Amino acid sequence: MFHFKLYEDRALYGMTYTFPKRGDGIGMHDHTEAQKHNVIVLRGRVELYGPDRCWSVTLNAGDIFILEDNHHPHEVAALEDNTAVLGMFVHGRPAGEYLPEEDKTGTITNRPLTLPLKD
Amino acid sequence: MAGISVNVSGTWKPLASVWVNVSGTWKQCNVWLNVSGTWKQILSKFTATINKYTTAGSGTETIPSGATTVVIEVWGGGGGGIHGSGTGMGANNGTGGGAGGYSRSSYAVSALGGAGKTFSYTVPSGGTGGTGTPTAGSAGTVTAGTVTGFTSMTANGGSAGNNSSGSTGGTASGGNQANTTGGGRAARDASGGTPITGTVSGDGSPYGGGGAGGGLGATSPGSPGNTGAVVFSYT
Repeated sequence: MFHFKLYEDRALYGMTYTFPKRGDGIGMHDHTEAQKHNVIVLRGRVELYGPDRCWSVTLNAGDIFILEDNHHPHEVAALEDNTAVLGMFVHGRPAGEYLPEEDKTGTITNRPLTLPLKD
Repeated sequence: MAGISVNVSGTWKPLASVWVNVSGTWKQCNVWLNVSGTWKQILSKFTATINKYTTAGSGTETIPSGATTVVIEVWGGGGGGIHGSGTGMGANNGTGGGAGGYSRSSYAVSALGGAGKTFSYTVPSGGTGGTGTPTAGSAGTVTAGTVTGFTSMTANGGSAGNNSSGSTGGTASGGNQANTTGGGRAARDASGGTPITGTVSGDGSPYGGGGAGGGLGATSPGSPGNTGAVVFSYT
């Protein structure tokens, strides 16, 4: 499970994601071009990886990871309790996307990880 | 085709069918007449007939001549699926709509007043999906027209998908063989509610399935629910 909260300031558009426990994460997913993002680790430690860990990277607090086209789809797993990341949309807010209030912050529990933790 | 009439208390009435007892079992049969050396069929045994109504709307059903039993089935409309939510890694899928209820009855035609008597029916529509607020499916009904001794049947529509509470299937009532509630979905389960299987197949049956919820993201639309149906099966 994870918590999410919209971050928007003029041209900047992104989401913060908080993982309360080690092993929490965001299951395998892909993005449209308009929703592609990078990942900035705010605290804790995460692993990003592709299907069957065809690629994998471990990121620590302060790290910035730029997701290229070959990093899709991907999964994010927290390696420590209380880990938080910021996903910044590289194209800003997608055209025509105006989220209702209930979609700006919340908790998601139905997108489990597809692979066990690496370590 | 010519016919045979019988005089019942001074009134001539067409004979719908002829039955013979073969070794203890009653069987319906064809009747042929030799007219000047040429055999002509003047009465046919009844051929099983299924009348399916799968387009939303109302109508009248007439019991055909020669039928001895009728099985009536009604499906409620499926509820519409709701769109997904969120964006980016915070995107989530939407919830599928509930399936319509299902009701089934069986009657002897003689108990309904005989051939030529009528029912009124309503085929329900499925709910809407899209990126707005989805709607529930409507109810399918069969009520008495000129038939007698018939209990009205109702199959309610499934609810629309809801991303907090899920969806529920429609209930049903009035059937003397079955009254089954359609399948619902938990919140964020994007598959449409499972429809109830009846006695007919093909032509889109089972009818009244719930619409699928949208995929990841607020711009991913839900699907509309499936139309219900009313089916009359005569033997």
